[in-house]
Amino acid sequence: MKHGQDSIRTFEALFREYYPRLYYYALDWVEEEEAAKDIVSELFGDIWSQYDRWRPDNRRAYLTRAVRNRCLNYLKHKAVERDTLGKYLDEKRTLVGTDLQEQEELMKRVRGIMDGLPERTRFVVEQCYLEGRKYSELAEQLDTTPGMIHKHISKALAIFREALEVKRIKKGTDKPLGES
Amino acid sequence: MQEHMKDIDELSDDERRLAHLVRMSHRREAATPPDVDKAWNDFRRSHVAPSSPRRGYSVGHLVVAALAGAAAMLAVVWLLRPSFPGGEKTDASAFVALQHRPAQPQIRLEKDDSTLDLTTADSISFRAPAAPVVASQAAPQQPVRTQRLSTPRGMDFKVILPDGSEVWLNAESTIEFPSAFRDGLRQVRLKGEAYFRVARNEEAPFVVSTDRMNVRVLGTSFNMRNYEHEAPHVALVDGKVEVLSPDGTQPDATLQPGQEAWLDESGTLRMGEADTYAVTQWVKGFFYFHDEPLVDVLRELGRWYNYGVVFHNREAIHQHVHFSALRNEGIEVAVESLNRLRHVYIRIEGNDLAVY
Repeated sequence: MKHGQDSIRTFEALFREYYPRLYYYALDWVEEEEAAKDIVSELFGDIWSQYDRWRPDNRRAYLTRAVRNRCLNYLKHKAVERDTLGKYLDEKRTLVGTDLQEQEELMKRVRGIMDGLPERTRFVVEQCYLEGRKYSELAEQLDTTPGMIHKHISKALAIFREALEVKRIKKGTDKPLGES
Repeated sequence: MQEHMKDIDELSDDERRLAHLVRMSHRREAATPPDVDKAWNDFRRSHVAPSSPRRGYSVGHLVVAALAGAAAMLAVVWLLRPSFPGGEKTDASAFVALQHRPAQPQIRLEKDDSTLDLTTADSISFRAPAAPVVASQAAPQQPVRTQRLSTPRGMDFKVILPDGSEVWLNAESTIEFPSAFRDGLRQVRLKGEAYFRVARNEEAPFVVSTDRMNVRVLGTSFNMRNYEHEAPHVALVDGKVEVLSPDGTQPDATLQPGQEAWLDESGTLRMGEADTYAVTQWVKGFFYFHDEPLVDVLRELGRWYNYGVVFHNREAIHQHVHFSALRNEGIEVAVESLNRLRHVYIRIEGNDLAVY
């Protein structure tokens, strides 16, 4: 592929600006680092191959949409055997925004909410959702009852719902968390 | 992914969404941060110019370090984004970033045919006794001799040059300078790293030359670094310096205080904002790294304590860290505080720091 020095320079700037952001965005979708990297690199490869004709109205929107489509395709191919794929993808569609920046902000907010949770509640959330522990196991470890574990989870849900709802209502889009 | 999907199905819709969000956010944090320099270089190699890497000595655009991802905070050490390496590859499994040197630890001054051991001193002065800084009127029958001062690993040394300029020579470094500066030129050669406080003399520019980069100054303080397998690098604390290619006479860049310049691996000169605090901490007896790749941190430790550095865990090479320690403490203290990151495991194995 032959392009001039100028296009190499503008392309490098585009690459450097968006590669990391799109990588994280793809990671939200596909949940695997290697796949996220490949998807983003391939997209840039395809853009470069027709870079002299590449004139989107909104570069960020184009790139985000392209990554999103590629991720959805990847997930469909990857999980054909899964009978609940449709539901899973629907969920991801509602959770992973179509706007790059909004998604980045959402992730930052989630991080902030997690950091603000009471220590024990946060521990329970992390154990349940990151480590996949069962309520009963966790209750035993913490010398409490599964009911108490559930209380922590409910509390976390309430905190998240409130924190995220405010923002969504302001924007007037989408349902708040938990209103499915 | 399959495992996550399976247990997530057992949750209520509400909880499932929360779990998704928590996982997504955690994944962003736990993921190896993207190495955009490496990604771009890979991309360029495979898509843009497979056989002709960019060459030349043009002034590149500013490279501003951007911190991506949240940092896992610890007392003095935290993880930051990774960047680009440089070094020797031996075999497929381990990356040797630095080799142990069996050489005996000695600060040496070589001139003519003699060698002086200065190990027990901590500084030496060659300042000319009389006023003339550039000794054009100095006794002409006295030939100018080249003197070479070298430090081993683990020791630094201060030298005052004939013109009164002060030089702090870091470990494993060599400076060559004449017994007297003549002809309106003050020229020294440097290998390794040194911090210069150059005596002002508008008539006689002070030039530090290295094999890859020269700088020319009138009177300033700056840190210059030119170790093997690392990008040559100059950071200006105050005054003004000009950066030249080794064979150049016209400056390729002029630095203002707080700026730095370095040659990237393609030989392009790049400029950016310098962390002058960080680059001069060694003069005060500290290791200090902020947002630097682990490989650079360990090379510096290895160079100081004379250990080789071997990465068995290649992923860790470009991991950016924050790290500070006293240089007169033992290597164990430094290794222990790096291990507290729990991202890598560093072990002292014989003469090497082995990273797992």
